[in-house]
Amino acid sequence: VLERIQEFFSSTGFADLYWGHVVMLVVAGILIYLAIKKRYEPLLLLPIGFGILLANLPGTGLWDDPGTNGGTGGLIYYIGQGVHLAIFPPIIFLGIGALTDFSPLLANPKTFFLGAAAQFGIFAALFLALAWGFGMNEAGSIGIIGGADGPTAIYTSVLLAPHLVGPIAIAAYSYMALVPIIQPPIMRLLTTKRERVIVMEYPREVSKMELILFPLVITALVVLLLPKAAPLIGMLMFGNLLRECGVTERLAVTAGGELINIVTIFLCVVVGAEMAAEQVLHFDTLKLLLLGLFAFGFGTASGVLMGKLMCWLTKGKVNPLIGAAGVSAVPMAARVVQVEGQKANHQNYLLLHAMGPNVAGVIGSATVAGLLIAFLQ
Amino acid sequence: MDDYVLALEITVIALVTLMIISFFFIGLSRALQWIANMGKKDKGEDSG
Repeated sequence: VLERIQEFFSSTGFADLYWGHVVMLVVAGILIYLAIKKRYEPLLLLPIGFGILLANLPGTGLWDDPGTNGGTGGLIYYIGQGVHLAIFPPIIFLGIGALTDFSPLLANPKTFFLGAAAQFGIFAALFLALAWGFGMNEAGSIGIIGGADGPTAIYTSVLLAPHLVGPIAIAAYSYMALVPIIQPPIMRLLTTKRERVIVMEYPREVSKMELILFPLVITALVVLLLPKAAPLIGMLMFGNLLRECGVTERLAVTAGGELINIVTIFLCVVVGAEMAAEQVLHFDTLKLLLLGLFAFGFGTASGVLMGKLMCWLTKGKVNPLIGAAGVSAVPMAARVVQVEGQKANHQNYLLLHAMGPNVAGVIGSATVAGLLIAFLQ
Repeated sequence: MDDYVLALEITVIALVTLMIISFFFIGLSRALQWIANMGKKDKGEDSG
């Protein structure tokens, strides 16, 4: 009987459990807590947290290739193909395109510069990662965390440094959730009270034709410049065309609703399941998380500094705070700008103005991702 | 050292690309606005 009990115990997950698994189970618990209790990006952090939970329960075989021990392969192995073949991130971009209104950007196209400037964080982190001993492909993938765009970060790291997908995705989504904590001190440090109270003019109205032609022309331009950006930019703009053309409402609703939700579930569970203790519990992961934070902060700072430059050039018509929204993280970063603007001036409504650089940041980070992939893949 | 040179090249090219897209975008926005206004004007003339 004792032998049978021993045999049974050795077949359970408890037999292979070690302290690393316990640490990661605590991490999973923290993410799930933040998602449910604090409502920090719950649609992302909850499935990621559950993925981490699954990945750190030994003996499940969820990641097994077909043929391992004569089996047919693990569930996560199959779902994970959507991540490892870089299919899920562009599909999520399709949904994002269907949900995004580009009219604030079209109404005030100069704010595109703010979305471009906020990408500086990517390159600052790239150099710092090289200095900290990461390889070129790893450094590029870590830098893209500064783009503050989960699907873009996952897409880039899958193609350049697949072994870092899990930590990079966690860093990207966690920092996006922490935008209201990370950005305001940087925004206040780099701007004066006089700049923060600036009230911007109400933007012009954008016509239907402009909104329809925009995704077509941007796709052609960016993809001709950077063919490797086609999956991200192409799908983003296709989704936006579905939204704006006025004749494919059902497709737009599906892309921005059920489709993006289904793919988000699969993507996030797989990303979480990449975080097995054996793969992530080492010093490089901590360095990666710090570099991601640096990229995010530097991107925010460069966006605000570009905002200050535009404020000076326009003789005070641009509130520099809107530059902080250039780091994608749609729409959280724009909401933070709104809150900070109202703290300085109760009559100030910067949300609409901040949406311009915010959506420009999505295009900017996808463009930089295409460039990194073109050079490094 | 080679990695730093490559990183610098990528950074410069990325910044130039983003600048090109930004300037093109401003031009595009103006052009689209002009086309839209022309369409409205034609419509107004037809109905008038």
